[in-house]
Amino acid sequence: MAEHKEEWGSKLGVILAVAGSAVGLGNFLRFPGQAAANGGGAFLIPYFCALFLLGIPIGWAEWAMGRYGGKKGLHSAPTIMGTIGKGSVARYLGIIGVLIPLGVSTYYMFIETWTFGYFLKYLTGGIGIDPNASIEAQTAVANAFYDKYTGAAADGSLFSGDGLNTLITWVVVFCINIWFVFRGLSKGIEKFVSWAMPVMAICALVVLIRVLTLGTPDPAHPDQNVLAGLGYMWNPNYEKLGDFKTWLAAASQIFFSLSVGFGVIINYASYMKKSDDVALSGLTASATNELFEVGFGGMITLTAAVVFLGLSGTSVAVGGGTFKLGFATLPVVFAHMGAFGNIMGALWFLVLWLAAITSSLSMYQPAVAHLKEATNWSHGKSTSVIAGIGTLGALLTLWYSAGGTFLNTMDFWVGTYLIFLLAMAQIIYFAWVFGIDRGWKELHNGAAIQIPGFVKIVMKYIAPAYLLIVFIGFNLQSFAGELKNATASVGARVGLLTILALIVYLVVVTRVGERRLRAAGVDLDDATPAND
Amino acid sequence: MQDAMQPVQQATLSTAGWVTMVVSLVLVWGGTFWCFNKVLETPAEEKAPPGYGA
Repeated sequence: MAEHKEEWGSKLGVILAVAGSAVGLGNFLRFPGQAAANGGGAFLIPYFCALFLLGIPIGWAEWAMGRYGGKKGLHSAPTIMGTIGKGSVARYLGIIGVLIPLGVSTYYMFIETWTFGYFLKYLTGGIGIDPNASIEAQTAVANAFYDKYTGAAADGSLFSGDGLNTLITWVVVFCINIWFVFRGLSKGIEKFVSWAMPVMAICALVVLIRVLTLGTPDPAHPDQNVLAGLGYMWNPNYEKLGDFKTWLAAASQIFFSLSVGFGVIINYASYMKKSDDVALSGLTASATNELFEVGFGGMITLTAAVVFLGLSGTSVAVGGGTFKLGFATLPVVFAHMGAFGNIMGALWFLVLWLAAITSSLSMYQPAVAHLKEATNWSHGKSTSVIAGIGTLGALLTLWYSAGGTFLNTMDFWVGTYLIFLLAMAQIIYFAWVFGIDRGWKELHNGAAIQIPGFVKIVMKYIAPAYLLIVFIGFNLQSFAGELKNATASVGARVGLLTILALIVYLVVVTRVGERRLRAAGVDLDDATPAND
Repeated sequence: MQDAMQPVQQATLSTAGWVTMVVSLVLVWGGTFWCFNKVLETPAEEKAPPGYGA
């Protein structure tokens, strides 16, 4: 085992850490776009169905599995899943639980860099949009800045000229992340999220109040007002409920937003004390994520866009995708807010940066834990190796910046597709191999709440079936096209090779760890159940 | 119901839109407050009441 035992400093700490991992850019940018494109308020029906039938139950399973593994001194997804699934197949499937956060970290910190860079820009005067110019001219300036800052012009453009600004900002963001991970669980990650989450909530509340009090800022356009903005987001179009894509979009949004099947919860929960509550903790982390997604993301983003850009302008912005909405459209909105525009812009990008960093901080931890567990290396040495791997991946993301070919490949195969697979493996192993009765008992050990009995049926039958249907639908919708994209460019092919290299690395480390732990007499196949 | 079947792009917030928004906000704000209140009022070492997990 590792040199000294790591654990959370408080029960609130682990809740905020998991919630911080879940709350990300998708809460503020992706959710409103998905809702508006899929029935507005009606989208919330399949969305909450997926939350209660998929997200929360699978999350509970992951929390319980993690804490159970922790009782045996195990902290990585491969060893914990091997224990829950009683064998090598589950153990090697568990590699996905390390691959996802490590793979996603390669591009997530690049996006986090944009939020930090925009925050700094707004603190020092904005991104150069003339508030008196036409909307078209302002949009052109915002788009040009976005393209330049993200290196959209050409591969390698971030390594010279103006692109160096982005590169330097990335170095700063990366160092901040590594510093907190290096400091460890309670002194680094927990300490940071304990103030970052409340600060993010307060900043988001300030922005929300400002947006809801915008009224009708331009008398020449009386239709561009707050109620019209809220109507764009919330007016239900029930006809969309007959479209399978709406249900698929809702399930996907819940999945990617809650971080279930991501590999972080299972690792974080393994550092809890053996009688710590996981039922209420899991529910609280999910509720916090929903507050940021529905309570803030659903109220701020599109409302502000409609007030200043109108319904048609907002529709174009939503059609442009999540990143364009956040980094090219909202700056135009801030330019219309007068003297407070830059302050609102700075606050908004501070919210996005805090959302991003509380997520990215969680991405190295599973890989660090995996390496420490397998090799018995120190925390510092393991963190250094993982930081090195992360740097190589990040440099590829930074280099293949035109069209985001590397980023998109990693995002689809690692940050989307594998999440479905891991979640499916987790809920099936938990409910069918570990056993739902045993799992239910484990979930309630030390629980501060009693989970209603029907959730047991949901975990055993409904969640796996629901997930399978969504996964099949997802494959029919996206698999062929993404497979074609994955070989269409050099960046995409390098992305696939990177995934392959990471898999080889993780298999080798898992094998090394298995030998070492077995030699040390650790029960990796759950021959003897852990004590409560 | 007629109101609720209108396309999403309206120039104001419809009655159905108000209802959906308020219900959703009550759910997420209320749920979060309830959870955190419960977390903060539960002693750190509290064990499950008898019969839990049976």
